[in-house]
Amino acid sequence: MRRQIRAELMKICSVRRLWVLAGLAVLAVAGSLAVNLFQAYQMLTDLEIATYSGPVTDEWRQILEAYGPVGQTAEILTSGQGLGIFLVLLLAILTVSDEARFHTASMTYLFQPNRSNVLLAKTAAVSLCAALLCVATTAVNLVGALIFFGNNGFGSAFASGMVWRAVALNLCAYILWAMLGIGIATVIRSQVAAAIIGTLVFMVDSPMAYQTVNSIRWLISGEEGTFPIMAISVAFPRVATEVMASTLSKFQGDPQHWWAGALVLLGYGVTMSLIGLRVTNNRDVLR
Amino acid sequence: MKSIVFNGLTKAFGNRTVVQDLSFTAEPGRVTGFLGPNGAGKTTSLRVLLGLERATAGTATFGGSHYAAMPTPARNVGAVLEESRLHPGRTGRSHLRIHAVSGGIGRERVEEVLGQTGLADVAHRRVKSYSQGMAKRLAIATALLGDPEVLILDEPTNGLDPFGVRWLRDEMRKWANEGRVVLVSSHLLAEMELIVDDVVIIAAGRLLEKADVATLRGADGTSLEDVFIKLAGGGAGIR
Repeated sequence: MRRQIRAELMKICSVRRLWVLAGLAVLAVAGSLAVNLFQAYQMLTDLEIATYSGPVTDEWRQILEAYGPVGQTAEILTSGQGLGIFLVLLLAILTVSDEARFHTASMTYLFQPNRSNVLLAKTAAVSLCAALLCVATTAVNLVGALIFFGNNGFGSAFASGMVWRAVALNLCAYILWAMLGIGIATVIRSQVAAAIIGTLVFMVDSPMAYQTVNSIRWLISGEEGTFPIMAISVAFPRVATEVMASTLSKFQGDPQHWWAGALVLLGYGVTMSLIGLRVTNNRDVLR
Repeated sequence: MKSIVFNGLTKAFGNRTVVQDLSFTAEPGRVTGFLGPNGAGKTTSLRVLLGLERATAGTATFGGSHYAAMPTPARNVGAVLEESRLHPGRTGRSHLRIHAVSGGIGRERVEEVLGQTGLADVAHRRVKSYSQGMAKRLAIATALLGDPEVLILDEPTNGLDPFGVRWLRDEMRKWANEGRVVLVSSHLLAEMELIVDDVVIIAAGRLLEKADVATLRGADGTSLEDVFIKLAGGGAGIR
């Protein structure tokens, strides 16, 4: 298994695409970091939050956590997550679908006939790339955060468990999206179709998910009610990621727990991987 | 040394039977020609043998061992399949290194097979810049990585220039003389006549004849092409 993972890593690194994706990731992180630093500056200088001295109710505690140093530090350290997971998703899809596109699957299976091992090795290799990308972007973000908090005199929150939980969950998000991409490309053999479907899955973010679920609610009941729009929205992978790895609430006033997002993403990752394994083992290798 | 044994192999895709009750053996030390027109079922038979497709009935094994059950199959069997291609974005050397790692084969074999196939000088170039003949040589180099005792070549002369065809013919003879099993499929009967020791002829998925070349051609030296046309009934079964 170790040698198969090594072979899959060599495959990924042997084509120029990886370096193109890495370059895009650098641009994504740089842009996202700049935006997050700007937003953090605005939030931390917001007079209402900065000078608040009233009673700390649960609601205020949440606001202070999300928009104060803790939330801002977490946001800065996870800058570039959106495009980062998209690039990981694309890398996963291309890694699997290249075998069909370039008709190299037969040769791969001649050297490793155990198809489950090949798929698991691909998953491990792409997950490793995703983790490396996440660690590298977090390191860049950390430098940006240290400079930002050091120069502006805001109280940083590097010691907060919430910050490092957000960083750890960000890493999980990268890996789970890699698994999701592997699953999509295993089930859908066409590289173009897999990339389009992956992109569509990625594009449904919180506002789009809200609108989609709200439209469904309207079609079903035609009236306002107690329809659990927020809970259902978390079923969309991108929303689950946002809920899982962000300290900022995406839906004001709605209780959404990070673990719900984590469970949804884990469910997708594991389910798609199992489907992928079954499909790969049960059908003839594409010529 | 293991023989290749087809025993009553049948392969169907839905209602379409592509190979039917195919039985023959390819022995060590001989070049066995697996001949038939396009669409005869040669590639499908080889893919079942190599574990890439499932048999509908019967078996195709290496002396009783299924390909997929071998712990390091690339060390025992090397194969060049007609439809198997190479990633255009990789260099020849990186392609071989990847498969060497995957097959548990030492890195030194990469340089050896590059030299053996005459690709050492172009190994640094990406495959997309290779001619058809160079790509075919790289596919053959890949098959040779594990220094296997069984070699399976599906339409190996397609894309090769006359020098390449001559080179491959000499290599196949050398491999057989070393005691390896060499099974080569082709629809180019005149070409195969110069290479093979034994012949298996199929058409429309059915075995028409299996014999050594000398017996098949008879005392009057009838060409393999004429023998095949006669066996296949002037084109019957050719798709």
